[in-house]
Amino acid sequence: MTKNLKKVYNSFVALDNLNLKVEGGVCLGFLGPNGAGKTTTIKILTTLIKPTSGKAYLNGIDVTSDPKAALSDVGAVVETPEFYPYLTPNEMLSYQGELRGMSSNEISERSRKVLDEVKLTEWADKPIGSFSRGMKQRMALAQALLHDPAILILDEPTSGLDPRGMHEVREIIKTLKEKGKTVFMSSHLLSEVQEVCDTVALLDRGRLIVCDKIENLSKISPVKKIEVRALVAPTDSQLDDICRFRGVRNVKQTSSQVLLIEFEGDEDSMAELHDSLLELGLKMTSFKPTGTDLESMYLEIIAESVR
Amino acid sequence: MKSSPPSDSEQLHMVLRYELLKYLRGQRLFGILIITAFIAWLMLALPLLLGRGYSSDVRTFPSTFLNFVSILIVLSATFFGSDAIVSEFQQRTGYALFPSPIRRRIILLGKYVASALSSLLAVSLYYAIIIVSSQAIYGTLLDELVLSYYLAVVYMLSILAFAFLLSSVMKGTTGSAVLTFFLFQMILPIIDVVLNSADIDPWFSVTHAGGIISSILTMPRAMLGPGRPMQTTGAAVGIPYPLYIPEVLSSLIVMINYFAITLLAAIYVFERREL
Repeated sequence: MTKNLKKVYNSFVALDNLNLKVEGGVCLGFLGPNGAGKTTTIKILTTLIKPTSGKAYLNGIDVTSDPKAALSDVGAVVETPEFYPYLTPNEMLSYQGELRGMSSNEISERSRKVLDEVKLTEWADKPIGSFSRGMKQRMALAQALLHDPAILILDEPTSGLDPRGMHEVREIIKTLKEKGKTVFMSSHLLSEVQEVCDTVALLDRGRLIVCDKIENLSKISPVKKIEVRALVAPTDSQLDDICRFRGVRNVKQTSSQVLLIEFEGDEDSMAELHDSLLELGLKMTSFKPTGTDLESMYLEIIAESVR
Repeated sequence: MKSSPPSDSEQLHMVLRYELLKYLRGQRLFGILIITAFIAWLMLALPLLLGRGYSSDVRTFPSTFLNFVSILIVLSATFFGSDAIVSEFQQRTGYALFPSPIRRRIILLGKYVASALSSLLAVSLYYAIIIVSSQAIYGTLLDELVLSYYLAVVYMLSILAFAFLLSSVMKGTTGSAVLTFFLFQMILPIIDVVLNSADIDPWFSVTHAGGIISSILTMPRAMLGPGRPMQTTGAAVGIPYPLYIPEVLSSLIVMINYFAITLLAAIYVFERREL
């Protein structure tokens, strides 16, 4: 939870009285354009930086006045951290586990489990200095999960990973959500947030614009974009007809055979549009909605915020 | 799994162990011990190789050795202290360590104790070689040599604390290492000489105070009691100038003050530094 959290760098206001409350067991996606204040918030929560004013709490404990207690049941991945290059993953996890008060049995058992989860088992005894960026990101996730914390703070957790790695990390986060863990994750990948999170907080220029469940936010922007590809370029008269179809707000011809239709309506209306295009004589090779509901909402809200 | 973080002292011990592991795996500890042994071997072998033999004066032999102690301490501070804090920021390892449930001051103190123990090993090895050689060649052990060792340890602690302050303030590891070495090996000693030549007693300078480590052997008894520091005449480029010689008590007080003030300042800066 944050209370009037403010961070000012010289004259730049990175966070402007941020008030955010995340209930236990919620998986919250923290969204916003570059410079919105997402990483600043995460850095304050993980004690990497101090707020100019206001308070930040983890498990009800003020992170500034008692960081040791506040961070005791928290796992965090902030940016892509580096690890001591002379240590192996097993040694690094051992260090982290000891600092958290885990017994050697717990450390060894949990290390095996988390290294298996992040697919680093065969590298468990190799120096981290030789790891790629993606492997270090996996290592970061392993050390965040080591003590099975109640709260996970993840700053772009799939950054630097290949598509398979991204999928694996998303699966891990979904499992954590099922276990009732509280996950607070920032990401630029809206499809990822939509897939993994149940709640979204949107930040812009240091201010919280909206914080709600994804299903509620999707209703904010009813306009969908549909990409239509045709075998033959549509004529001008066909384009005029399309503009007059029910629910169509705008039609853009992105190339001779590709149309981008902005459409407002439910699934039935969309099926109706599909049939109308066929009746018009358009030889369609594909008809697909582009972007996610969350993306439409994001763009709409950010555009309003800028206005 | 909900385990409480260990006490501060237990965590300090953990940081200390992993920092020592860093010195061992990074060959730093091995490196400083090799340098120490090599310099001691040079001091012992050169007079014989040049066919001049050792001085007949029981004080001259160890005092030649002691001239290297302050350099050894500065080297240790550069090896172990200069990048201890700044590397967590520059190399981004702090992103993994700082969100752990451990106070920053404990991280700093754990690292400080590790660097102090490693430096102590090098300094002790060097003194052990001096003492054993003195015993073997002259069959006697000077009390002042033992006192010099204790003073060297205090000087080492103060220089290391100062190096940690620089490491807490600096942006890069290279800059921190270069500044640490040149500050204690060149800049402050030059200021001492300039103050001396202006007939100002640099009693407040830590490098001037560190001079007691070797001068205690060449001018022993007179400096043990309180009173005005000894003043002799030095000569640089043929021009004579007054030379203030530090005394034990004031040097000790200056070194302890440097240790306490710079270590507290390092903690203050480190706890507020943002990543």
